[in-house]
Amino acid sequence: MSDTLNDPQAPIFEDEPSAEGSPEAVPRIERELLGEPTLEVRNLHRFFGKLKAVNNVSFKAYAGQVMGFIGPNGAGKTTTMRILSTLETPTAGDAFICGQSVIDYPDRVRHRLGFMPDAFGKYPNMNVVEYLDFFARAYGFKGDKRRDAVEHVLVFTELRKLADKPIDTLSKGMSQRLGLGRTLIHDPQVLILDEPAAGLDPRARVELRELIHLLATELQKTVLISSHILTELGEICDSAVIIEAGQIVASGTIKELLSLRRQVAGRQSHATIEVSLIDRVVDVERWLVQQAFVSDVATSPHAVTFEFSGDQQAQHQLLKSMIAEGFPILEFRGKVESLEDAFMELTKGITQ
Amino acid sequence: MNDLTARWNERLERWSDRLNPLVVREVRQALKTRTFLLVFLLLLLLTWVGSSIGVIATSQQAHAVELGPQFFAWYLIALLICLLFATPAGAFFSMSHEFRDRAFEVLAISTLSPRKIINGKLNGAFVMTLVYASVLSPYLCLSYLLGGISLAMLALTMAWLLLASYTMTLFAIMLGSLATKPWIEVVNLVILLAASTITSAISYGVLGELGFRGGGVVEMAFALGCFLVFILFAALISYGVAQSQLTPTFIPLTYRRQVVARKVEPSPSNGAAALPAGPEVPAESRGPHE
Repeated sequence: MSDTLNDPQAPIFEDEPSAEGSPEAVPRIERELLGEPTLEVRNLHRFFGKLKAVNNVSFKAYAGQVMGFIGPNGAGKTTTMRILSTLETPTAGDAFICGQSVIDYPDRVRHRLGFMPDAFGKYPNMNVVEYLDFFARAYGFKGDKRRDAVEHVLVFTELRKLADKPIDTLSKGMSQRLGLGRTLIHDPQVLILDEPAAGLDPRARVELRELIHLLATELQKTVLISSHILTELGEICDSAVIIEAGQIVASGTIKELLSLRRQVAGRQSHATIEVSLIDRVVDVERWLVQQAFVSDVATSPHAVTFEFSGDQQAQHQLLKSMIAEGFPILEFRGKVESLEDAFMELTKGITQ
Repeated sequence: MNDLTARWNERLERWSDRLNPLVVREVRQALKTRTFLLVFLLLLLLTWVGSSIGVIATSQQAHAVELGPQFFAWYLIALLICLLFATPAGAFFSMSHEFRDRAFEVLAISTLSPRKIINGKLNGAFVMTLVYASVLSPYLCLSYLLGGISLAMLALTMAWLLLASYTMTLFAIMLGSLATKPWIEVVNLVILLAASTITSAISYGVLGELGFRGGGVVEMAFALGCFLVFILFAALISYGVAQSQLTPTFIPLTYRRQVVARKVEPSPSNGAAALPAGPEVPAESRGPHE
């Protein structure tokens, strides 16, 4: 067992069943396409007395994947992230980072994981380079390796020009960059970012988004990111897990979540269409409800929105008919469904 | 000159790799604080001015009376202030600051163990103690040269003070690690100041009685031995409390075994596919981890 402890690549458990024979084995096709999951949460529970903060949560993420972790306040996001970061122990269940259990091998997990909490203290009387240097030392880097690690992070986060600036004088955006840099200093495979965009101005948000995109695409990191800004998460993430009252409501790719949203709403439509008009909104509404493939017609002072379940040809035919009817159309466009729409449809607003 | 400085810095950098990362950070931070600069300059100025005035005022009787103990009594007060008030207070604020804005969380998930964190804070503070003591070393030599105080007595006194400072710093780190809320921080600071005052009073009383008013080296060594026993006890308790406070997850081995047994539970593979949460885990398999 002692050899196992010293070898990070060693099997986690001596009596671990083989993947093929295990009931929890990943289907072969999934494994061939995506590889082994770098982050896996398995039947995770965390109770605080009677409060079920995390109640049977399971999901997986793979290298190069940016996964959104979405939920209202008190849904259990931060608790799950803290368990994944080895800051808290689960009541039951387990979580794995690059195959290492957070319960059994927290030290190994810490080498493979970078956690950026929503707020992290800034030490006084310390500049940017000293801060990064300290964490490089804390992760065991010495000599040239330490200097290289710090330099690499300074370049990646574009903090080189602020290297000598005291960290308690940095703006919120720059502080978040520094936090991300600190998270990356030991080159972890999995990154857990808790509300990284909170309080950032639009420019800083865009820059942070680009950094996260680079991390996943070029460096093949697995990123689990929680945020309340769902429109933005929809742009960064390729998949998401929606959690409410400690339980997973839905999980999957963004496309799958939007499709699930339509199923939950009882609609088979493929598009939400918005028509902007100069006037005659009521006439258009009355006309639309009589048309094929049209449902859920809603109006606003100068626009009509409806669900359309027909194909593109049918959509084209509908527009032609509207013009033929002489309606004063300014714009006819498909409304893009967002992660926010999916979130609102799939969650019930339950708080614990 | 620039080359020399660069080479010296390079050498220091390499040497610092052998140190606990927290010692490097604490010393870097402490040397930049106004408090350190103020205490350092005040100490330097007061001992210099005080010694000059003392030497001038007693110059007439210097050949007749041994003035060493009188001078040393003043230096002892300066040492007590630096070693038993300034250094522990610095360590206390350094530790309590870790709990502001969740700073400790990012430290806890690094590869630094709670023991390394405490040792780093303690040794960082000890470096400051040595800096303060080095300021006073020329004056300690002066008190020896003025007669009436032996080298052994000076060494035992310094050993006493360094031990007291080390333990008070450890006590301060423990109090700092318990200061997870602002009001607790205030209460703990008051406790620390009270403890520093009591330790200073005891130290001054014992050292003054034994060292400067006729006590011998043997009595002094006995007092130091008794003090050492008390110090060890206090230090062990402080260390244990601080370490448990800084341990984010404490999982007894027996529970690890339970977790191993649970590995074979079936789990839904709902990673990439869109589906709701997996089935509820049977109640009997939901054994607590802690």
